[in-house]
Amino acid sequence: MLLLETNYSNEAISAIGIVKSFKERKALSNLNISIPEGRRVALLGPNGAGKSTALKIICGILKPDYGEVRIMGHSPNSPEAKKIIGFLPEDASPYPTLSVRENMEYIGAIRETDDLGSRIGDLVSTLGLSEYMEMRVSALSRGNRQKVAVALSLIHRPEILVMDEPLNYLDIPTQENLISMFSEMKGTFLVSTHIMSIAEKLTDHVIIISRGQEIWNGSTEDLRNMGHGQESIEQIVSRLMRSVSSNS
Amino acid sequence: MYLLILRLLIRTRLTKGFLVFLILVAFADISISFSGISPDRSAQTLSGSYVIAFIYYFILTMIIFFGNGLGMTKPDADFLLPSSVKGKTLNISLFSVQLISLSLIFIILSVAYSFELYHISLLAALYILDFLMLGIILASMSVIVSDFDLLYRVPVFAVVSLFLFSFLLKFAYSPFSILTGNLVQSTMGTLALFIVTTFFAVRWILTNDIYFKPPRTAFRKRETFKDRITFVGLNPARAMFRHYFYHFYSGRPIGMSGTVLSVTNRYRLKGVLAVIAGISAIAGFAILYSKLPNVNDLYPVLITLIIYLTFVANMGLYSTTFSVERLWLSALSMPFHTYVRRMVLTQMVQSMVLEIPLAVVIAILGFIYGTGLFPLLLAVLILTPEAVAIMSSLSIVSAQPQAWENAIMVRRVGLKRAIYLLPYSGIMLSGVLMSILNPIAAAMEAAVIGLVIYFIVTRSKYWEGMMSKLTEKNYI
Repeated sequence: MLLLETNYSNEAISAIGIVKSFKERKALSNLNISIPEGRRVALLGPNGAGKSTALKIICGILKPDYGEVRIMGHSPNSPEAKKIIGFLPEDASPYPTLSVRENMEYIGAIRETDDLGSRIGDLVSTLGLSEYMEMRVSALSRGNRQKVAVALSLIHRPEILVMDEPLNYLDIPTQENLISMFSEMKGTFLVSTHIMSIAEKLTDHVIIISRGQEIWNGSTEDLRNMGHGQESIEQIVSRLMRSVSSNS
Repeated sequence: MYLLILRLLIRTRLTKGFLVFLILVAFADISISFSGISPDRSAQTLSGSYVIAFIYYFILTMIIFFGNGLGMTKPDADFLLPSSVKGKTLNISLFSVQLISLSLIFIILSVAYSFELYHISLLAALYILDFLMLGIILASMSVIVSDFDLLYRVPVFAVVSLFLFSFLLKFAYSPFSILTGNLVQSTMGTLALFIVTTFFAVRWILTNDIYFKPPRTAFRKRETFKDRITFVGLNPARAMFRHYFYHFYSGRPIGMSGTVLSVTNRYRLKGVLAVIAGISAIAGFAILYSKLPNVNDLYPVLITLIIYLTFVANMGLYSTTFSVERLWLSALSMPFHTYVRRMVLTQMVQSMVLEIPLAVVIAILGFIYGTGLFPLLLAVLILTPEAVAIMSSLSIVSAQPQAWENAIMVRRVGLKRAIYLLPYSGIMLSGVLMSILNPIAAAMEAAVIGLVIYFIVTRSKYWEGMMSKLTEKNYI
């Protein structure tokens, strides 16, 4: 539990008592998430657990039925929050009729990015997009489109980064580039993923949710320590999720 | 002046198709006002045209109250871009886009009416004043309601709607009571609404600490000339231009699998039917209660209504991803060129039989109301691709999507060029025929409509190239 004692002075993300239903189906029921500034957290859970819904509510794209979200003390839809938060949705769609460069310049300009030219250059070289800069997004492969989406979510140098399956569709070298880029970045991360190895590389803390509720919260180290014998971390997570299913 | 107007247009969210639509409607009105109607028309007889304006206005009001500005697309939302006014983030470029586009709609309409009323100068002035104020009222309302939750939007919208509709109850100060013959009072009512909404909008802007500046980077001075060409807001402007002129029209043929196909179509049809029912109800009330003194005035109302409804339904059916907002957007824009270029006319040959009943209906309408030949031809030409598009869309529900897509691909190549020229030459031909009846009106109308369609619809690459050149030369 060493991580909990490190210097986290402010809450970067705070979601209290979040309830969200889609017609009859309850996606989130009384979900509480509190992430101090600077912490890197993986949000894990089975399919349909409410991960993507939770992320969208945190970013202000969806409105909760009940509960409150604060981003560094601000409402997620406030200009202050929008300035510091970057969001990469699972099915992100850059403007399909614009070129990669136009997407970056347009969104960068609207988000008031300082030194936009060099920022674009950095992202392009990290993500290996230089040869696609003048191509329309609609003509790109799914993997390259994902790279553009990653670049767009990072373009304004967000302090808080919320990502839903960020490495989807990416080839292994790009995944490695991104992981090392994320490791060098400072800031608060909230990453939703199914793949534990990615969670381990990108984050140091885990929140597991199931059926819209938190079922476990702690450091990756704590999670690993819960293993019986040679049990892998994936098996531990799977056991935790199964235990909730069987209890309900 | 020309460049200034061009610049304003590009920076708006007005779509190319919508501009074509506005011009068509405006000139159709002018044509009707010139043909077969005596020059001493009273304001009352113009109510048919005014009904259309009322319908537009009501739809725009609904969008203002229940949408995120005029257009919030998925990429906007995905990357957390601010909508024009939501959440107190009033980005001036987006705000001005909204303001200008709303005002433009009414400026264009008011210019059209001033042509119609050139011989009644006071009345023309009142119309222009009314429309300008109505445009600004909408923009002001969009600012005011941005602070309201849905709970409050509904009652405020109800009050505003009641005020707009109160001309039906013979309330002389309703903005649209011009339809019931109250000319000066309606302007006074509009003025009152204008003062109230502008006051609250300005107060809102002054009392809320909001962004009211352009993106810094867009207007930052760079060191070199090359940098200035590369940036100084040009690329965002061009990006916006390209995005809003093409984004909504890039829908693919619907459906990727049987399941998706059936689900999406069910939603689409439901949405489309709801919109058609709503608009029909509004139009029905308006027509019923406006007590048109001259049956001829019903003709433009019916024709425009049919075109409009067909278009909305069509666009709703074609939307790749259905949303109410997208449907409303489709209600505001008329992607005529998309039909020409992509799907509709490729289906035209095999669906020729479908246009015959529609042409017959319009011919009967024309016969009943005894209007000139031009509106009839214009309506047939416009309705044909629309009707075919609707029928093709409906037929996809039961067809194999893959087979349909292949069929489109095969047919598209051979017929492309001839089909492109069809509406253009048809409208020009109708202009020639009309010129026998009324040379001045027909020549003006045929020339403008023909050129607009020719340059915008069939020469979109040239148009885009011209815009790019202007952009590069720092004009835009």
